[in-house]
Amino acid sequence: MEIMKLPVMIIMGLIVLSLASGMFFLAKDDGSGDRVVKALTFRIILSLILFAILILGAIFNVIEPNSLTPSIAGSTPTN
Amino acid sequence: MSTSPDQYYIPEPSKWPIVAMLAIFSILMGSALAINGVGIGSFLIVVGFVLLGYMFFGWFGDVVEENMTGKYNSQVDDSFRQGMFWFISSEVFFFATFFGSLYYVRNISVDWLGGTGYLEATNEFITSQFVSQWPTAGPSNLGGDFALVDTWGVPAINTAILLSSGLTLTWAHWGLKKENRKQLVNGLMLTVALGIIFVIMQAVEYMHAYSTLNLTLESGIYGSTFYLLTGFHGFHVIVGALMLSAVLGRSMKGHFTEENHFAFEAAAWYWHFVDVVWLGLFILVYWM
Repeated sequence: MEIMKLPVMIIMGLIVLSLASGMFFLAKDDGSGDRVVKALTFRIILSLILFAILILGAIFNVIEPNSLTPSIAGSTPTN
Repeated sequence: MSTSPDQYYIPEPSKWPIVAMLAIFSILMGSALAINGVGIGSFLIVVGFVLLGYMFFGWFGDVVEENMTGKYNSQVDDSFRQGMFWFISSEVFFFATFFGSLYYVRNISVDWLGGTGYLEATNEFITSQFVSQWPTAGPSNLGGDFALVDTWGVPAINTAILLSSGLTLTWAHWGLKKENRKQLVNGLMLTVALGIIFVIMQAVEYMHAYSTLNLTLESGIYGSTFYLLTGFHGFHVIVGALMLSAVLGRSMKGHFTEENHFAFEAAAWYWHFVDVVWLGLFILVYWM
């Protein structure tokens, strides 16, 4: 996962930015423009790219989901 | 009182704030009684939620009627936008707190208990058996051993469902902007349907986690944070689906124009927000 953390975090950051810009336009505009819908369209496209990266990363063994790690929590002795 | 577009519209005295107060009182009092095992408690909770639904339906209905009869000027429009902005801000901080607690527990406090940093002595004398790892069943493995939810099962499918709903909603949004009513209504219908499927899948996953994986609210700090984050997200999906259902009903009645559609955009933005929160959950809980 380490190698993929950076691109995943960058795209996630861009998604949050496009969502935030959509909120900004929603608060500022009067409804006549299309800045809100454009920001949200950008947001969904980026999200699809991110999901595709996760799936492809797992297929090519670059990323491993948590649930595939062998440890069953609780098997470690605790105090 | 005023119908002039030059003046800020002030509504007549309304019963809705009192109904809201009674609804919330009933829910809280019912919860307090139910927790203490008093029989009437759950009845009061139901009454409270019915009252709450009645209040939302009636109050928003009044607002919609005021809007459709041309009582609002651009200042009122600006008030709605500001109100939505602050509502969303509170939602952002709500989830930021939960993501923050997940980060703190996972990257700081579990390490401390394992002896990292200046709490080395604590580990040596008090928690010497504790091995720092995530997921952990700590403290003391009270909930017993558990297994994790398979990322490729419901979580991945639900991510695909929620992203698809974001697509259908964006399609509806463009339909509204291009004055294509059919595209707007169909897109909203698909979005609400996908939202309902998401919630049902999540409920099935919870039952599976409880019955087969022994992953419960008592599974230490992992179980607590897992259900807190995914549970509150699920609740927000339900609220978003209700908002979009109302917007769908209004769209079918011919409400909203290319220029006057704040309710649609506010509900749509909320849905995108809930979608992004899920993406954050999906990555942080299931991948990293």
